[in-house]
Amino acid sequence: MERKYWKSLDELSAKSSLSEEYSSPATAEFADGSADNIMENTSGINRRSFIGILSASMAFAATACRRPDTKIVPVVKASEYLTPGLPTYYTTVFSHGNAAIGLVAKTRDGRPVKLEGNEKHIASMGSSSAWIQGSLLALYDPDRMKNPFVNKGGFTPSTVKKAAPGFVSIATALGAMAEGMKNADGAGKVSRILIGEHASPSFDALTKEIEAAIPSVKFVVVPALNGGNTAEANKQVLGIDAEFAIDYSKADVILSVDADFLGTDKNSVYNIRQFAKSRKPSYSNPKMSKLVVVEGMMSLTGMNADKRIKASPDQLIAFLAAVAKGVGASVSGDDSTLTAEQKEEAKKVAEELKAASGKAVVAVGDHLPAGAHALGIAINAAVGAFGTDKAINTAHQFPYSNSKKAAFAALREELKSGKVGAVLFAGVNPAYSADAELQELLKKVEHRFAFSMYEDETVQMCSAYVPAAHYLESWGDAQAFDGSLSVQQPLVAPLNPNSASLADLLMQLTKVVKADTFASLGEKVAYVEYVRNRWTNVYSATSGEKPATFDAFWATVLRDGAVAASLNASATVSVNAGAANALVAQAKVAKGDLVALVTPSYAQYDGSLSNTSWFMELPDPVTKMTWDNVALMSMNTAVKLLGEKKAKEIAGEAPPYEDTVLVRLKSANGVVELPLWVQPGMQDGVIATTTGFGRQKLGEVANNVGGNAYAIMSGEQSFGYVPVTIEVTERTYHVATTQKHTDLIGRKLALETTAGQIAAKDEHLFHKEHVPGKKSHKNEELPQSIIPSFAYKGHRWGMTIDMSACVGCGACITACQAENNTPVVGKEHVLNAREMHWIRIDRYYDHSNLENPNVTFQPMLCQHCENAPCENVCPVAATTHSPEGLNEMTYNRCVGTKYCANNCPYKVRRFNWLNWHKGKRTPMEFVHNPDVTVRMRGVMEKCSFCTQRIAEARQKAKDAGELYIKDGAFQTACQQACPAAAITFGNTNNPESVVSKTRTSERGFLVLEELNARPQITYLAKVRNQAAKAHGTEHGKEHGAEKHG
Amino acid sequence: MEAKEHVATATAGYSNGVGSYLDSPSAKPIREPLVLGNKTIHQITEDICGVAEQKATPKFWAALLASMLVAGAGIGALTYTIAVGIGVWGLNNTIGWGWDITNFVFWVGIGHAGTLISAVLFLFRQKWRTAINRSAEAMTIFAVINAAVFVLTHTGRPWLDYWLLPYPNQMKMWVNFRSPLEWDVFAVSTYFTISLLFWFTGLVPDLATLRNRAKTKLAKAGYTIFSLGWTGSTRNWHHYEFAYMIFAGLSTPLVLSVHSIVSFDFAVSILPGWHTTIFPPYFVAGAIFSGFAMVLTLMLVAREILDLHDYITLKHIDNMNKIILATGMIVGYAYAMEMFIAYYSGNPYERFVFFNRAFGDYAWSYWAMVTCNVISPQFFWSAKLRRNVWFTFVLSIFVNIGMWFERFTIISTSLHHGYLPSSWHYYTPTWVEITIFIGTFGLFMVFFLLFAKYLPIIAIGEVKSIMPGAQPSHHHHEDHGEHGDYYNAGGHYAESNDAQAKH
Repeated sequence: MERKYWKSLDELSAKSSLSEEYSSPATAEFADGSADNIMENTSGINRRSFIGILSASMAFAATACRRPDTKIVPVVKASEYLTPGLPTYYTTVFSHGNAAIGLVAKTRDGRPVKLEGNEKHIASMGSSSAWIQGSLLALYDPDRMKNPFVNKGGFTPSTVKKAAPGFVSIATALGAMAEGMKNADGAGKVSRILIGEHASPSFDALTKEIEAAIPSVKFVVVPALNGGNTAEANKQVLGIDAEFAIDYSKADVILSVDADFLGTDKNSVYNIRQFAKSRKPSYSNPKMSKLVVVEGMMSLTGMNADKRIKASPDQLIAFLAAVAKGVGASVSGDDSTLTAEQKEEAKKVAEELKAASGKAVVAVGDHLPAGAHALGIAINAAVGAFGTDKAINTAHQFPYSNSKKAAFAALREELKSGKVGAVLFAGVNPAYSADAELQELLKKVEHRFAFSMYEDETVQMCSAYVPAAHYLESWGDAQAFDGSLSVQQPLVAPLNPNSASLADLLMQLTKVVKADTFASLGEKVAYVEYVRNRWTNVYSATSGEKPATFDAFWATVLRDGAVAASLNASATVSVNAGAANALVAQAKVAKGDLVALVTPSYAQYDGSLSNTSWFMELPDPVTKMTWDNVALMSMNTAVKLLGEKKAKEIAGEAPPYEDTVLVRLKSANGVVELPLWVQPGMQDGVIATTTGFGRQKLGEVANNVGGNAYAIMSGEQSFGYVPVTIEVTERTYHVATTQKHTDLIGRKLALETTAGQIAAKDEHLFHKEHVPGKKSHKNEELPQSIIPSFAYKGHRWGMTIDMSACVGCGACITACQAENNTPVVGKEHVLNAREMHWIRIDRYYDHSNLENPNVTFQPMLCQHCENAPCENVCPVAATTHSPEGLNEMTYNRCVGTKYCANNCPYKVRRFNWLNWHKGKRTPMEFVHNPDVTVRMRGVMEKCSFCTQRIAEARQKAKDAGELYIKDGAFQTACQQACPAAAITFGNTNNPESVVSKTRTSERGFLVLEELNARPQITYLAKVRNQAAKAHGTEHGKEHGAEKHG
Repeated sequence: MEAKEHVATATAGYSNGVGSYLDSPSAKPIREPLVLGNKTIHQITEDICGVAEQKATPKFWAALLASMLVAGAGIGALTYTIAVGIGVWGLNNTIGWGWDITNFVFWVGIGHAGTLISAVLFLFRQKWRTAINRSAEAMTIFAVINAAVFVLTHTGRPWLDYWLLPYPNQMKMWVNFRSPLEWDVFAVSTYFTISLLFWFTGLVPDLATLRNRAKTKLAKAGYTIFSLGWTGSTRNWHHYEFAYMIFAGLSTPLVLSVHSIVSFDFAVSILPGWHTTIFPPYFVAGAIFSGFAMVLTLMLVAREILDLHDYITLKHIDNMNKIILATGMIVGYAYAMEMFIAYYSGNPYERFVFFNRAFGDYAWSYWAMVTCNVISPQFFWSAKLRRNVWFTFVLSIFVNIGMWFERFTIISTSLHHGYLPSSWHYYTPTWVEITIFIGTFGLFMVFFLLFAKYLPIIAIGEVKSIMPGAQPSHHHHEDHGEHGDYYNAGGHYAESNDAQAKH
C-alpha cells in the first residue's frame, strides 16, 4: 500500500473544504488551473498519457500511409463584395432551345458551383431539371477547345495539337473569317451564319442588325432537334406561327398523343410542376387529373399515365381522328386503322374529354405530322382548351418558335445551287446532327468557319475557328413563354481567355467586315452594352411603378432575374377547318413492318453537351440505361428478330444482365448501329432510340459512346418516326443499366392506390400488420423496443416523398450529384453496380402485364433510420446518429468494412471502391461544392440530408437570434430541384412544419416498416386515377406465399 | 555435450527395455495399437527428429519453391489491391462482401479442428489424438494467419485497421462494441494467441529433444532459444502439464466461441438469410467438419511423404472420418432446418432468400455445397471406405470445397437479392480475388512445409506416452527389473517420455 504523508492536521482529517482546496494541489501533479491540469480534468489525459499517445501516434505516423500533401495558396488581393467561405448568388437564364428557364446560380469564391431554378421565373418556379444541373459541369469541361485557329488546308486535330502552328489570336481568326466572307461577296456569293434556336430578343435584334449591315449575310436557324410541326399546324390552322406552352394544372383530363411533355420536352420543368399540382389527392381533397397517353414507345409520360394505349404511328393519327369525331371537332380524319379495342378507348377518352370540357387538353408530339396537330387543335377547340385561363393560353408562346423547316429546306437549295460562298457555324454542329446530304453540301462551301465550345465534328471541316464561351460566361437575355424577360448574367469571366460569347464574336466579326456597324455603342462594342441598350427600351416600355433610373431598373432585373413584359396578344381562337382538313389529308406517316422512333435523350437532349459525365451516368428514367443509347423494342419484335430464346435472354432478369447484341438500323437517310434492348410497353414494330450519342469528336467522355440516331433522320425532321430495316449483327455488347430487376414480386415496398379508393376514403388503405409500434390483428400492441427511445429535442429532420407526384424525371439525381460532389464512375463500374448517386429512382413494372405495364417510381435515398441497422454494425463508429435525427457518416473515421452497406435494407450506401477522382483534369475540380468533402477511396458515403445546408441554415438562424430554423428556410438539393415538388423536408418536431403535415397523410407509409428501423422518410403512396380496387386482394397478398422470380 | 551423451545412452537403454516388454506375449494389445511397427521409444525419437535433422531433399525444395511462387502471386495481388483499392475486386454496392469474407470464414473454420483435437480431445483423454494434434494445431495457426490476411485487407483503407482496436488516443475515439465485427476482432485475436501459445507450449519438450540432438550451430541456437531452457526435470514436466491443461481448458470454449462470433457477423444483421439463430451451432459444426477434412487432406499427404504410416494409422483416419460423418450430418440438418424455418416463419423475405438459394442465380453454388457437404460424407457409413486412404483423401477435398461453397452461398446469395428488388445484382470475382485466395494456399503450404521440415510434426513426448507400457504399470514383470524401478518411481505416464535429463 502506498504510504501517505500529511503536512497538517487538516489534511489528515480531510474534513473542511478548506483542507480539500489546499490539499488537492499537493496530490495533483500540476497546480489547479495550469494548462496541464485543465487538460487532465477536461480530457482525462495527463502529461504522461499525452506523451504516451504522442509517441504512439508518431510511431503510427511513421508507418501509416498518407494522402498526398497539397499546398494552399491564399488569395493575395481580396475581391470586393466577396466574403471567403460564403456563397454569393446571382440570377441568370438558361435557354433550352427557345424555352427560357430562369436560374439562380450559387458561386463560391467567384466560381459557380450550383444552379437552382429561380422562384420568380415562370418556367422554373424554383425547380430545375437534370439538364440544367448538368450544364454547370460543361462549364468546367477540360475538353473545351482552348485556342482559335486558322488553317487554310482545313483542320486536322493532329496538325494543330502537335505543332500548334494554326493557333492564332481571336482577331486573326476573325480576320480570316471576314476575309472569307468578303471573298464570297466578291465572287457574287452569299454568306450564311447557321445558329441554333434561342429565346433572346437581343440576339434576335442583333442578327437582324448584322443582316442589315452586311447584305450578303443571312442567319439561318438550324436546330439539331428540328421538328416544327406544332408551329406549322398552329400557323395553318390558327394563324399563329408559334408553339404554345400548355398549363397542365388547368386540365382535369389530359390526352397525350406521343407528346412526352413530362420527359424530353424543352419545357418539362414547367410541365411537371403544373401537372403534379393535381396529382396529390387526399381524403380532404380527392380531386386529381387523369392522364391518358397514346404512344408508340414507352416514354416517361407514358409511364405516368393513368391509362396508356399503345399505337403504331399511323394509329396515333387515327386515334386523334377518332377522338376528334367523338368530341365533335370540326376537323375529321381517317380512323380505320384502329383496332376495335383502340376505337373503344378513343370513344371513352372522347367522352371523358367532353365531360371535362373547359378543363381538358390534348397534347400532340411535335414530331408527328402537322395533320396530327391539326386534329389536336380541333379537339382542343372542341373541348374548350383555349382561353386565357385555360390550359392553352395562345399568348403563352415560345419566342421564335416558328417552324424552321422551310428555312432549312431553303438553305439546302441554296447550297445545292452553289450560291453560298461562306458559311459560319455559330454554336451549331450540322456535321453531327444533319443528314449526310446536307453535310456533303456544306463541305463543298469554299469558306467554312466555326464558333463552338468544342472541337466538334463541324469544327473539323472548318478553316478558321474561335472557341465560344459557355452560357454562364456570357451576357444575354431571354424571354419566357409568358413574355417575361430575364437577363442572362455571366457568373464568371470566360475561363479560357481566348474565347468569347457567340454574340460578342458575331459583333466583332461584323465590325471586321464592316467597321461602322454598332456605331451607337461607340467604343464599347460589347454584347453586354448591346443588351443594356435594348433593355433601355424595355425600361421605357415598362408601365406602372418602376425604378427611377435605368441603372436602378437594371439592378432590379439582375436581382430578381425576371421582369414581366407585355404579353403577346391573346388571340381568340378560330380554327381554320379547311386548312386543317388539308393538313390531315397530307399527313404522311412512317409506315412499314419496322418503324424507328428517334426522340431527344432525357439526359443528353440534343447532344450539344454530351461531354458532360453527369449526363452520361444519369440513368435514363425509362430504361435506367447509362453510357449508351439503345434500340428499344417490344418483346414480340425482339422475338421476331432474334428468336424466342435469345430475346428472352436479353430481356430476362438473370445474370449476365447486360449482354445484348448490336443491331443496325437502316433508313433511307442513313444507318445507325445500336445495342438492342427489350423495353416493356413498346408498340410492336416500333424501335425507339434517342439522339445525343454517337459523338466522334467532342471529348474524352462523349467520344464513341452510343450511336448517332440523327443519321437515320433527315435534317428537316431530325427526330420522329422513320421506316427502317434492321439487321442483327453477330457482335454482342454490354449495356450498363442501374436497375436489373423490375418486379416487386408482391413485396409491399412501393405502395399504390387508386383515385377511387381515395375518393371513397377507404379506411384500410394499406394493410399494416406485424409492424412494431402498431396494433396487430389481434389488437395487441407490438412494442417498438424494450429500450426507451431517444428524446429528440429541438430539431428533428424528416422527409416525405410523394410517389404520386413524382414523375421519375431524375432532376434530383443530378442536383444531388452537383451539391454533394458525388463522383462519376464510368460505364465499366456501372456495369458492376458501383454507381455513386446518393439518390436513385427505383422503377417497378407491374409484371402481370409486361406488354403495357403500370409503372411505379420510388425515389430511394438514405432513410436516416432512427434505429439504423448500419450504425450498430460499424466497428469504428464511423456512422452514428445525430441528436437531430440524422444518420451521419464520418468519412475520416471510416475504415471501409462495408458492413453497414450489407446491413442496409434499402441499399443506399455507396462505397468508394476506387479513387473515383483520379485522373480528373483541371478545371473540373472547380465544380466541387466546397462545403462538402470530396471522399477518398475506401470510405462509405450516402445521402446526408444535405447536412451542409442544415448547418448553413442553423448558422443563419443563430445569427438572427432564432432558436429554431424556420420551416422552409432551406431545402435539400433534391427537394429544391424537384419540379413536381414531390419532396418535402423539414423539422418533424415542429407540428406546424409542412413535413409534419404531409407525413400524417393517409397515403403515408414507411418502406419496410416491419423491420423496426424506423426510417425518417415517409412515402406517400402512388395514386392512379383508376376505379377502386377490391380491398380483399390487397390483404390476401401479404399472407400468401411469395412469388419467386 | 555432456547432456547429450547422457541422453543418447539413456534413451537407448530404456527403449531396449520397452522393446523386450512389448515382445512378451502377455502384453498383446486388446485395442488396435495407436502406433504400429513395434516401435521402440527411441525409434520414435529417431523417426520424428530424423525429419528435421536430415538434409532437405530436392523434393522438399521443389515443393517449397512452388508454394512460395503461389504465395508470391497472392502477395502480389494483395499489394495491387492495397495500392489501387478494393475496387479491383468484383464486389459492388449490392454485394459488399464476397470472396474476401468467404475466404476469411473458410480459413477460420479450417483452424477449428486443430483446437478441437488438441484441446477437447485432450480433455476427453482421446489418446489417438497424439499422432495428429501437433500438425493440426500448426494448421490452426497457419489457417488463422490466412484468415487474418482477408479480414485485414478486405477493408477500404487497410492502413487504418488498427482503429478496430480499443486503444487510448488523442481523438478520444472508442470502438463500437455493438458491432459483431468488433467482437470478431477479440474472438479471432484471442483465438490466435491462445492457439499459438498452446502449440508452442506443447512444442517445448520436443524442441528440447531437437536441441539436444542438434548438430549444427544454427539449429542448436534456434532450438535452444525456443526450448526455453527445458531440462526435463520433474519440475519442468509438472509445470508443463499444468500449463498444457490450462491451455486446453482455455481453448475448449474458444472452439465454440470463435466460430459462434464469426457467425454473429451474419446472425446479428437484419439481412434475410443472415439473420438466423441457428448460425452459431451450425457454424461451429461446419468449422469442425471442414477442419477435420483439412487435417485429413494434409495428414494423408504428410503420411505418404514423410512415411508416417506407423504413426498416422488407419485407426486415426477412421476416427476422423467418423467425426466428419457426424458433423456433416449436423451441417445437413442445419441446411434442412434453415429451409424449414424459412417456410415456417411465414416471412416472405426469408422464404424468398432460401428459395432463391436453391433455385436462384447462385443455385449452382448451393447444390455444390449440398453435394459436397451432405451427400458425400454419407459414404463414410461404410467402414471399408472410412479406412480407404485414397477415398478419404478425395472426400476430404470434397468437404473442403463444399464448406467453402457454404460460406459463399450464405454471404453472396443473401446479399445479392436483398429487400429491394431494384438493387438486386450479381457478383463475380476478378482475377485479383482468385489469385489472392490461391495465394493463401501457397502461404499455408510454405508455413506447413517449413513446419514439417524443422519442427517435430508429431508430438514426440505425447506419442511416447501412449505407447504400450508407457503408462504407469501395475504388473511388475520380474524380467525387466532394472527398469521396473523407473516405472514405479514415476508413477505417472509422462515420466516415460523422453525424459532426457533423468539419467
